[in-house]
Amino acid sequence: MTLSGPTELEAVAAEDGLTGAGLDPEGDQAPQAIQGRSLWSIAWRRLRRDKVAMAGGIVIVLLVLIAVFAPLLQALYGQDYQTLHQTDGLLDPLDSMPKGALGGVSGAHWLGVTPVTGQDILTLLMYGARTSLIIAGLATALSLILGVTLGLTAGYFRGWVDLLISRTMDVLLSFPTLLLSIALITVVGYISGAEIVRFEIIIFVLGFFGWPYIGRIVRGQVLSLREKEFVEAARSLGASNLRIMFREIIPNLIGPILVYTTLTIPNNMLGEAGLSFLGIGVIPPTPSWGQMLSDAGQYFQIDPLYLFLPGLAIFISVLAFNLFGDGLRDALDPKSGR
Amino acid sequence: MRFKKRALALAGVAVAGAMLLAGCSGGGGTTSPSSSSGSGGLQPAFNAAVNGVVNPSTKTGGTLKLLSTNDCDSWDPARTYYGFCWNMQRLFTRQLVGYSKVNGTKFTLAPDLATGLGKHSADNKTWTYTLKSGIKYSDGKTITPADIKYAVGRIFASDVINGGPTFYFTGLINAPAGYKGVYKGGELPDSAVSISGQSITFHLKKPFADFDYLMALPTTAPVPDKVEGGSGFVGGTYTKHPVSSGPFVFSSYTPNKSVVFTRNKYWKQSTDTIRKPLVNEVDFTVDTNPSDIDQKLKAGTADAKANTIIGTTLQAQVLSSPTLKKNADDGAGDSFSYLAVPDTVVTNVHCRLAIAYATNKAGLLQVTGGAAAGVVAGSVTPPGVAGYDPSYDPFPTGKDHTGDVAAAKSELQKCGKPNGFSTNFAYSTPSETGGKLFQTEKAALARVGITLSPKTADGSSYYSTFAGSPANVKSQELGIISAGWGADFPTPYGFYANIANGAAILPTGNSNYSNLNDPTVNQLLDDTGTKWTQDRGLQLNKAIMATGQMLPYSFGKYLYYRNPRMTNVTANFALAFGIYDFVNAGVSG
Amino acid sequence: MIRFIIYRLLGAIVVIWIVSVVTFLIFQAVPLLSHTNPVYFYTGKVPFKPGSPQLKALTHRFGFDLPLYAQYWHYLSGILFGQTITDGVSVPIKCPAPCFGYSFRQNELVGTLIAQAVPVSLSLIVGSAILWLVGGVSVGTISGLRPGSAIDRIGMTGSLAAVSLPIFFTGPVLLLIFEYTLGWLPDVSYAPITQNPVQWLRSMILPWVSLAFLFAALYARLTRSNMLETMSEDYIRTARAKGLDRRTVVIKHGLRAALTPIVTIFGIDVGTLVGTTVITENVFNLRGLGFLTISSIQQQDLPIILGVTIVAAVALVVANFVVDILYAVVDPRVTV
Repeated sequence: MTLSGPTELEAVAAEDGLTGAGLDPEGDQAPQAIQGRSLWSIAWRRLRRDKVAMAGGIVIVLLVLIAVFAPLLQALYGQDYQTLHQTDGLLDPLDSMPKGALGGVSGAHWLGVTPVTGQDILTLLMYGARTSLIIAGLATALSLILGVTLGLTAGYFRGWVDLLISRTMDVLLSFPTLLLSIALITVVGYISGAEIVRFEIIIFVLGFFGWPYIGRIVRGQVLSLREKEFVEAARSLGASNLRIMFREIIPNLIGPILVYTTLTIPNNMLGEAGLSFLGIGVIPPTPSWGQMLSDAGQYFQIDPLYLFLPGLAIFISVLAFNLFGDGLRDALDPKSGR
Repeated sequence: MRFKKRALALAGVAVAGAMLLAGCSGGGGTTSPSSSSGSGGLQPAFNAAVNGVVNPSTKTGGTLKLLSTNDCDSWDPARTYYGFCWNMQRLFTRQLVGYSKVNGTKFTLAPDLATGLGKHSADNKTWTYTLKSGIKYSDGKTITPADIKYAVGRIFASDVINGGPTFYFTGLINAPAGYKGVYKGGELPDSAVSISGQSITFHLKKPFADFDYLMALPTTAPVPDKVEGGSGFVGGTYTKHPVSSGPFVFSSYTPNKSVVFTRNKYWKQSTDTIRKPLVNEVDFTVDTNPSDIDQKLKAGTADAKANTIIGTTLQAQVLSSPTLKKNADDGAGDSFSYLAVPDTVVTNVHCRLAIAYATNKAGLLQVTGGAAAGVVAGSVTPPGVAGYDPSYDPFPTGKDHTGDVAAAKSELQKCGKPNGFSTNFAYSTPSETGGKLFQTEKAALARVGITLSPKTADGSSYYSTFAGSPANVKSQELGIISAGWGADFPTPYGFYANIANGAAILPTGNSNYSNLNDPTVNQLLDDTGTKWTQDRGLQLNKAIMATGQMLPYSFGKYLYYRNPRMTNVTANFALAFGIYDFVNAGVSG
Repeated sequence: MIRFIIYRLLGAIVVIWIVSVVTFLIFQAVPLLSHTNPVYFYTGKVPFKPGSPQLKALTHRFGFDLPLYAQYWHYLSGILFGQTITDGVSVPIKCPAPCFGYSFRQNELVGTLIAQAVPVSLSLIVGSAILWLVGGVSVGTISGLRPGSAIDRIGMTGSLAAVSLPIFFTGPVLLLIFEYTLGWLPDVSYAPITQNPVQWLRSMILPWVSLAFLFAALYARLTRSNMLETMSEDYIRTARAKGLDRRTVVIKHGLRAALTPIVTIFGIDVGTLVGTTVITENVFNLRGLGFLTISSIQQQDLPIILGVTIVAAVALVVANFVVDILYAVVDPRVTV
């Protein structure tokens, strides 16, 4: 889902005319094991040479490590985001703003504390990474599962199945999905009101409205792959449809799927942050970068650092994924001259 | 009445604090004589307008420029329920009774359209007023008692006239059962409201000693009998063209954009003892960007913010700059913020008291805006309402008000849950404070082993069907509900009738979030025929506190900024949480 | 061709119809699932006991006592043929087609509210669309003509950075710099272009820039790759071989071919933005369609949500339709 903006994914999709990112199905890389391996090793060599993409990759690894080991890091650092330093001298009792320069930056709180609640900002950012990655990751997984399954089914079986799935994708792609997502979240949130459901519904909404993109790509690839000799060969040897789909066709889709994944995750990170910014995403005490930005919006004239920190966290993470995804696409693209 | 309804709090840029709903408290209920009468001329100083009049002047002319982040809920006097709109109503509508003193905490009722306050029967069941003669609407037509009777009859048409505090009247006035209001049910029968010459008599179903206060609400302002605002402006659309009985005319209106008030040539100073208008025109402009409003206030291109407190940033600037601070006021707007603990969810009183002791009131106050936004509350009744006692704090939370962990633990023992329990904390979204209040309370209660989980609903349904539905409260186990309240009129009845009376518990749209249904409390509130005294008020205060279902943490304070060029400025705490009393303000230069 | 247009037109209508049904159902489900009388979602204020005559009167007035399909048909027929809204007391309000109903919370026709919001959103979208088209295509062309050069790398990495910047971060930062710190734009409250063009421009400049930033990046990348592809085509080589100078070749032949797909995407993007510039409008306090949407969703003001969603769907579908037709005109091979 896009929150009033295009995405790197759209850029890629558009550049490739939505026919397929990455591996060129018209090319001659029949997926014999040996050739396949060499293709991947070529791609890996290319990727390693792309310093910008590798930098993105390193940032991603760091980000994941921070998210996974947030509790450990928090313990080492000696602060936690759950503690509210409201009445222990860190906040000005008159107007609840952090005392001291730069929003209360100190030896104990390296990035200062939040206004009003006096929470440690560094630990909030670490746990915000968790929220962001979990939601973006699971939403992407949902899009993948739906998109690959339905795209594969449509492309492989063609006929009325294809017609049904393709038309559904067309309709979904021309839906004002943003409005419907916001409406859906509000409604479901209203009916249940529980935090865990909010998490699930955000993942669902981001994931569900994202599947037609990958669905289209997969369908296009499968349509041409199913006519290839190796599929014919497998069929003549009596392989079942399921076997052909999973053993012969899917391995050829890994390239585009991988590219799609690295470019959809940042898209979904922005989606989660945007929803949280609008106040319909995750709610406290679950930390979220978007939520912090929305909160900082009230104080940014007095405490600008509080605005920049979560903003930069989103920017750096999303950029890292985009750079890596871009590099990956180039590396997997046999036409690419780079 | 809902006290705080968050203005669409979704903008990234600072959305100023609460959009304040409805009237306020104060006055001690005992119709206290105006103590600080006159309160002579004051030079601009911090808090000068809270109790006094800043820059007194008799200079007339000029235009008062007001900004607001939103339009009124309605400009129909019977349908509006926002405090700031009640303040705006003072510009163009008059009622039988009005407030002649609106600042400080002791207010004075005075006859407005009537020649005197209400004459009542010994049992307080019939109230009679005599209308001053020769008072005219802005179209030159004379205001008659029939117009007031018509205005009362309109209130019963609840399918059209809704939104305002109409239930006070529909529940009290002796209309026939099933009366559908003037549109479908015709005129009210004489057994409910009778007219004789210039006098009008209200017949009540039960004794009601506070009736003058009801008559001072904008709700029963005269509406031209049957014709209302003229063709096209009857019933639901009267809000677009309300007829003026006050010194200003509601002359041009663009919904959600602006209202221009010009002078009413038929209004005569000699008939009005509570208003002394100075300016020729009042411009009310909606500017949805609170930061813009703050910038304009600081630059002096606007005179005051009409609907709510100034934004977070300007607040911080005002409090730290002496030159700005002398043009600001931060009065105690006699309202309170509290945690409702329904006994349907937390059934044992000792468990509720454990929450009371463990609560970090100082932290909660910090969330609502710090010392500039309130003072720590010891008991439920706010300053000004009869029964307020600053020394009364039955469940003290320690010197610094951060909670008394030992006392909380001993209450948990008595409750039979020495290791604590789990429950949910409800608040509405989106809100700048809801989530933070939750976090603060969660951290505070965690100290004694009580664990909290958040449950939220969006602003509109929160009050109607989420926290406002006892069945939902029970099924979702909303053990603590974040709430706030301000009085519709400054007596314990006007403050508590909706939030503490067992009879006021409704299946939806309930305001008694605590599910408070205590015999002592009910009996005190149901005895509407007896006047309130400090003693009776304190008795009520204590009875409510004893239930542990209403845990107050802050009495609200409200920070406003006035343009130095404004003259005759004073705060209106009687109706509008200390927003400036615009009808009497002038401008210099 | 005519068959193609009719086919697409039917498709567009079906999509709009599905959108209206889905939105209608989502919000009908709320009261149903939460066992609440829908009246509360319309007025939000008046509490009456269930079964009381007042509540019945309100329920009837809003038509909630009708079966679901009848309520939907009532709504749909309002859009198609207009309707007259009455509460039996006030002068009936004539609501000509397309009538999206009446918001009882705002005391206003939904159509009027949308009409008030549309100029704001259009100002935003059109202004930033011009910015991003010009900016994106220039950067993309320069990059595409010198692939692998420093300019190209900076342009492309920069565009990835721009795509990674959320508006809810860039917006406040721009405000902080230009409104509050430098004071260049001291008052950014919106004014209609017809009333005060200078103020309009002042209020729009930051929103345009922040929104255009995102799209410019996308267009730069697109233009670049199209440019690269076109410049390697045979006919370009032929043109160069004929001795035409580089500038003429780039502008007359290269850019023209490279821009065709851009223009079609441009159409769809502009269509998509109608009603979905929620965050930009929020950050900059512009009372456009996006703001209207989210504020009415929070108040669960059903008629407004339905109205805006349908307007947004129509804009999107129309954009798609126009683009499809254009494509078919340009490339006759495209058929159903």
